[in-house]
Amino acid sequence: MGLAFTDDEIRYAILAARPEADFLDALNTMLLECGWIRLGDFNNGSEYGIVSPQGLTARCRFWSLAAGPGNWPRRFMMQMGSDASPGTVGWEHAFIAGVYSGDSNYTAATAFTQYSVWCNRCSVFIGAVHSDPKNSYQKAVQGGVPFASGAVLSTPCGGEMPPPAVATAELWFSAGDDSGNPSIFSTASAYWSFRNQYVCQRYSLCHNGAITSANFHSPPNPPPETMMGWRNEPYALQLGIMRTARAWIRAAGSLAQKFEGGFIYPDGSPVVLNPLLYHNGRVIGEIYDAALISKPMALDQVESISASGVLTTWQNYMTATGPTPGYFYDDLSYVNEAAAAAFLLLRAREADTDEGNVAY
Amino acid sequence: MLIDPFLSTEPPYSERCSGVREISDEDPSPIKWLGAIKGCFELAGWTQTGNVPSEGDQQISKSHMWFTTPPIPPVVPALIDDPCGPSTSGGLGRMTTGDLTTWFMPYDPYRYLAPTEPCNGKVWFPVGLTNQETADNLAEAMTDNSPFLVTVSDNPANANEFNFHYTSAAPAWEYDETVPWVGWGEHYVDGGYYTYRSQSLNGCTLTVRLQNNTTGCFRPGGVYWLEKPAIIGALQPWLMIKSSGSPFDEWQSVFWTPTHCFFHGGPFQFAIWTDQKDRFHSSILVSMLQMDIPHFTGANPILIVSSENLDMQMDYQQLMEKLHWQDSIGTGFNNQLHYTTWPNRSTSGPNPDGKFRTPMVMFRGLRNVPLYTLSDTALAQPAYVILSEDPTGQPRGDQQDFIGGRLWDMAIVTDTTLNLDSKTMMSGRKWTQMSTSTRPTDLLGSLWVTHDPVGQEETDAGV
Repeated sequence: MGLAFTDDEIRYAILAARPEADFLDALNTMLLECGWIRLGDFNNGSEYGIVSPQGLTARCRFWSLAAGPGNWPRRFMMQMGSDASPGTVGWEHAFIAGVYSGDSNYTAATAFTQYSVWCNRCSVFIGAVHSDPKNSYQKAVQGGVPFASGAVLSTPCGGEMPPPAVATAELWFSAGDDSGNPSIFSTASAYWSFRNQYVCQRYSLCHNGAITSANFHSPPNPPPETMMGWRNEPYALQLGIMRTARAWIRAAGSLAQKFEGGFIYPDGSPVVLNPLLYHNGRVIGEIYDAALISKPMALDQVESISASGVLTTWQNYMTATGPTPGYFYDDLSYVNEAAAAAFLLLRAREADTDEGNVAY
Repeated sequence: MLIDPFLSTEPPYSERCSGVREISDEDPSPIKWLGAIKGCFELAGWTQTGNVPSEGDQQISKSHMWFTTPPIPPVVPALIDDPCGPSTSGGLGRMTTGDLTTWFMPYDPYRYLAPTEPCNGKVWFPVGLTNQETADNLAEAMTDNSPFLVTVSDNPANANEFNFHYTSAAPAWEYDETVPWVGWGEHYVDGGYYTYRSQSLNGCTLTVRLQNNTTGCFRPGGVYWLEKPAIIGALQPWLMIKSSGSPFDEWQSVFWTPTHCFFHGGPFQFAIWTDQKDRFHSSILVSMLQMDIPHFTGANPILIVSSENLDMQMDYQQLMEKLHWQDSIGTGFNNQLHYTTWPNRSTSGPNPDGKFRTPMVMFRGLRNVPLYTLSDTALAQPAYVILSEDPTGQPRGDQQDFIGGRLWDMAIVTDTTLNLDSKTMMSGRKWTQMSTSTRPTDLLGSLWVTHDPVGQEETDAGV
């Protein structure tokens, strides 16, 4: 099994959501320790340059905003962009600066004061420390440069010779669980992103200079052409989770088949697989220093894996919960295929002294 | 901690495999069809473990077996008039193979002379001094001039009848298409079979019984049975499967016609499928799946999917048109086979909703859309199967199904083609498409089998 490792620094920390400046300072420290290059100030935050082990580049910005206009609460913002063509940028993804006692939107069920932050040299995954990633508060962002499948050219897209169609010269993505609509911010369920689903509703993906910034609104609201439904789900940015030929929990009650433990062997073990990334019906790459596992796990739950003489420790980033789950078989009906999946981010990797020192 | 949990990226390959064998239907004989299938099992490395010859019984009123009384004084026997002529009036028995019929003609040996050799489809035999002697003489003549050993006894159910019992001289079913007649009873001499055993996988084996049988019918479109006596219906090939873990349970699958089909098999698995669509073109997949090594202990999964067993079946092409199966299925772990049976179709009892647990292929793909790489190549993956300890286990929502391992010599490709005979190259091997998903809500993919034989010289097992 060939997972894509950066073989470089990884950082993980729990950061307080406020004060916002302290969060951005702590995040800055983590990113720089992973090898991100600070290009300069961006608003009250920073813009960074990132380079993947394949030599693919991108830019990423973090800053914060005060509450307003309208329903927008105090929040952080993340935006990915092209390094080769700096004017090409993706969505601005908002994630709120916590829900604290005393806030006008405070409830005990939705309150949170910390963010779980993970980064490597070319990607970042942020999610609130809260058990429910699908409730009404938008609190997760992801982005970076994946490992690109197939041929790779590290020549910038703006060069005189355009790359062959099947070769990747630029590849980056961003996703988050805010809809971009301030009128429903914090009043509706969070959008799907990799914190709560295998597929993203609002994301940006750039491949060889062509950028897609998609925003599929939540069902069951028409029109279906712009809704995250069966028409659009196969083409949206998503992780290549393990699935079964039939939509297994389409039926309800006693007709359903149950996979509470996920897709597991009779001995209770799940399978682990490389975290392929799909877009528009194509495998475009996979996330570095990450893995998919075929069982549900709680957010930030830790798992250890020993294989080929290497011991690795992982932390779960994705839990598919909430009232509006995963796959659609018509415009209004959906089932939760990601209930048999979790998305692991690498925490540590070392030789297993019991097995020897063979990398995988 | 998880130990070696990574998904296998290759199918398990058999050291011996038949490859794809094409079975012709140019001569739609169940005997020839079953003979071709038998040859395929041998190519796949299965071992013949036994055979039983076909048998049959027919009854006739004792009064039909006329006898004679020697004339007093004796007379010089005269030649029978035109003994080799076309008339078969008075014949007491016959054997028919295709268009050829041999008649068994009785004559009074005290008054007539008859040819001692068969002529023009007639065999003359002497009647006796009692109807028992006549019956015995008829049985001897049939034994000497047919592929059966014929014996006579009283019919235990009716003292006024003789029972003629036929036993095939062949090891099993080779002469099932020869139809005897002395009166009433079973139309065919059938029920003979060969048994073939798979190779042992982790101490477990499967045994398949290849048998021709007339098929009875309770009601139109209803349940069928093959236990003798089955006095109506046509000869049809049956495949019956047992597992070493459940030696008393038997999966019975009928093949309605000796159809044009394909066989693919290895030491632990076989499949028979067709490219035609209707109830009368049957299919079956039987596998001792390869469980991934770290999870091998105590697993021993089994999967059977067919077009029809002793059950009402509504999805006859499920094996070729889907990668998940709802009817006529058997699954289990520990080499114990549990299968769907007709009572589970009822609207009462332990399964009132009439639904079974569904074995499914598990892979990475998209629903209703093919999945390609950036170079427009579909993904090839091993065919993992999710299955249940017991497909009839209820309530359905209270049980967990498990990863049952991988199908041997088979792979999933994340696109579909219309041509089931397509061949392509993957991992340095040649492949043939066996089935494809066709439902819009299903993961889009197709199931391929290795095309070429492995571990043997190339031979032609076609009919």
